Amino acid sequence: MDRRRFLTVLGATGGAAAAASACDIGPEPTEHLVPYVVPPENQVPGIATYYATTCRECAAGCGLHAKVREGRVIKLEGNPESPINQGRLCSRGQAALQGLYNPDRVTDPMARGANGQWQKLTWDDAVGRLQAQVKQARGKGIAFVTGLESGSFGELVDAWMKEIGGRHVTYEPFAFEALREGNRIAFGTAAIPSYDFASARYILSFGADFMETWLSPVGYQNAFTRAHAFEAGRDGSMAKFVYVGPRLSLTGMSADEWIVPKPGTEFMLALAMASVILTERLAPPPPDALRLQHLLPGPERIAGSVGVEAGKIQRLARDFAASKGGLAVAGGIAAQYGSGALLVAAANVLNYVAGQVGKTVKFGPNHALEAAGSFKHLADLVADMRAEKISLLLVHGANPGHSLPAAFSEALGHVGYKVSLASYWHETAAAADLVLPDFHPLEQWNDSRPQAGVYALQQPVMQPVFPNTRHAGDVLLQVAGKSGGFKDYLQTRWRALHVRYGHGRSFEDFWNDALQHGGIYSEAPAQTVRLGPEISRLMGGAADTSLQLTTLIVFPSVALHDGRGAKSFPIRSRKSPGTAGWRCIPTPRPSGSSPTATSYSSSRPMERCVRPSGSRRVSARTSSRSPRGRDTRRTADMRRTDPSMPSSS
Amino acid sequence: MTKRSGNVGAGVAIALLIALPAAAQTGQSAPGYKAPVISDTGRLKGPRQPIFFRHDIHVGQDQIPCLYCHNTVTISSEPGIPALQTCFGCHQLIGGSTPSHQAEIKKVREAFLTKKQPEWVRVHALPGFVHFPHQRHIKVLGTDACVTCHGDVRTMPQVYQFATLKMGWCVNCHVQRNVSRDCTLCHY
Repeated sequence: MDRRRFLTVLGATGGAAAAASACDIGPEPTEHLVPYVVPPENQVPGIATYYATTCRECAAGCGLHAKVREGRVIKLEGNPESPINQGRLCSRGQAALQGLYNPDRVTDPMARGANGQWQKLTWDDAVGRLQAQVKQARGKGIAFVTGLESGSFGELVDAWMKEIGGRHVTYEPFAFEALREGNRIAFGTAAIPSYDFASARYILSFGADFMETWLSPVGYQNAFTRAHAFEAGRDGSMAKFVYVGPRLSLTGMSADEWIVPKPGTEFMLALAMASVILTERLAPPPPDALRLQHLLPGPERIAGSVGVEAGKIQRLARDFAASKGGLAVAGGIAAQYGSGALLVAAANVLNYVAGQVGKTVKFGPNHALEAAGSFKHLADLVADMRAEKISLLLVHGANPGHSLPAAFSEALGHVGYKVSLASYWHETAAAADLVLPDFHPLEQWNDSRPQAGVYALQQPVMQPVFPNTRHAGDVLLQVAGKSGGFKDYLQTRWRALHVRYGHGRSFEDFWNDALQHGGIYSEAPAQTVRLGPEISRLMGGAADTSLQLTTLIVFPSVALHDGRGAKSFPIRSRKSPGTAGWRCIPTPRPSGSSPTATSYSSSRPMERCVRPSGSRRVSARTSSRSPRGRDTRRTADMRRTDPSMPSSS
Repeated sequence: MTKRSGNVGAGVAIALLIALPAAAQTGQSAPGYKAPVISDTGRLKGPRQPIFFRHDIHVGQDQIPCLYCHNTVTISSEPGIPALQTCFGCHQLIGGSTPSHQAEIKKVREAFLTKKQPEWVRVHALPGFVHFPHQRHIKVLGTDACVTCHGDVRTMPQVYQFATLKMGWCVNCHVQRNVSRDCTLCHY
């Protein structure tokens, strides 16, 4: 008798009766043993098998070890060999399984019929329809929107779009545009460098939530933990962490000191600190930085606008330089105003004058997000869609219908034919004409390059949960009339890596070795950067102290990320840290309704708060009563325009 | 053995015999046991199975080792229910000597070819709060020790539950052999 059955009996007969007659409740229900027809390879019943693969829940690209029992993946952990996450994994990565087994997944190819009703298609029919649409749309505007695909799938899309005269737009809601633009202003390169938190002795974060969503949070958390701890073999002190930003996020809560400047003026604080370091010669200045000395604003000049006393700024600057291991990072909520790129550039200048660029800030092993498309490409696409210049739009691995303003959803209406290669019925899939169910990342072959020198492989860790789904790569190859599947395509590309990293082994040995370790981990050569020509722009920005009266602060959710976490129920019911008891409440699907996009829209990807820029203290409670409205409205729109969503069964 | 594979060409049979279990390959007649002809299956002990698989013929008469089919018993907590592929490995050649055998073997072949697995009725089941790692017991007692808990399956036309599998029965053996009776040994 198991516990559940005991409780059932207990409930039916009352405790005493059940305890007295526990032996009289009859035999156990008959169990059945279902044998395999053909036993799966490498599987021993009762013993777990582990496969190395890569997490695709965000663009960080952490290495995974998937625990598989009886052909079913049951647990994910970080791959200790991966330099990205060093064996750690965040809650969103852990919850990837919830996405895999999600009952709301798209199970069959679907097309919207003439009456707006969804109908199931066979794969032959679906591929045939797509081929016909591609043929028809040639020369009339074809666009393919994907998430960040830094590996073979991205190249396949690029190649195919080139062939049929379309364009490929990569879209990540957290694309860190300000970061790239700031690096371009400061150093003339739009790359995202590697930040060495582990060896930093003084960490200064200007709004960058590097423990939540900023770039590669798992790796940074791990490195920060090491820097912020007493460790044998190091001088007796632990690194100091100062957080600068208007909202005390999870990252901010881990700091030793919290500085609250007026929102939008963080860059002035960074410049003033750089000025102190240069004028007081706290670090040997790089020769090309000396010309900045008279351009940078001193702490006295900006103290009023920033709202931090000049003495405090001087102290921060002296500590930063004296630590000989300063690391200033900027991003997140502090980089989303008009001055966002300036802030990143200013933090770079601070690192540069302290002599830390090349030490704690390393250009060379750059982050993959440098390849993400810019919002300008996306805005151009939306404008073209609205002008009816796009007759075929394909979307894969992104949900712009949810994470972009309503302008995108409106513009969708002007597109001739919309195809969504999706795993879930999200907003974009719901607005499409043809939905092709894609494999979950744990079911597919793929690769990515999360950081220069790191080639992470994805391999299927189990058979597809829903047998009538297909890898988007296989579908594209078929539509493009190419022979072979996506695995062959991937291996062809890896033959080039075999030449570089094979060390004389056969390709099979090299490939199996890479699969076993989750990819190839090599060191990317370091690049030296010098201040770029546009650095004077920064000084111009510093002079402009006109600020808006009210600042909108939108901060990403550690659990839901850009909204993609909403498909997983444990993630939706997870406490959101740093929101003072207020958080988004998961809304269960109304009973009896079909799995529609509305169930995903109800949890918002971002939590918003507004506060006047002049106020000194953040009060999450009062500010949190701010607009919930827009998403809800969009949800309502979606419900109106799509009355007939299919049931996935 | 030779009799039951009579409907197959002898040359083909010899060529393919390599795939068959060791005891079956020797073609020797079972020394001590001849499986009876069963006319009334209703009187047999144990639950009725979707296919009338006779352990007494396979293990008793043909002397196929238990591990030929339950081949993960020495390495895993689970002994392993043989995949249909294992059945088909022999029964693509062996068609059965009597009409009733032939009918049952036909079911196996159809199940394999149509990929519709039979749902065996579980005979030996433990509650979810008890762990019984087969491999440790086999390691200590040897690969012939299956009979200790499962009874002499070699003479069972239809398998039935031989031991009570209750805790007292487990502990009794642990006491006799002077091995640990720690609660968390099994309840973890």
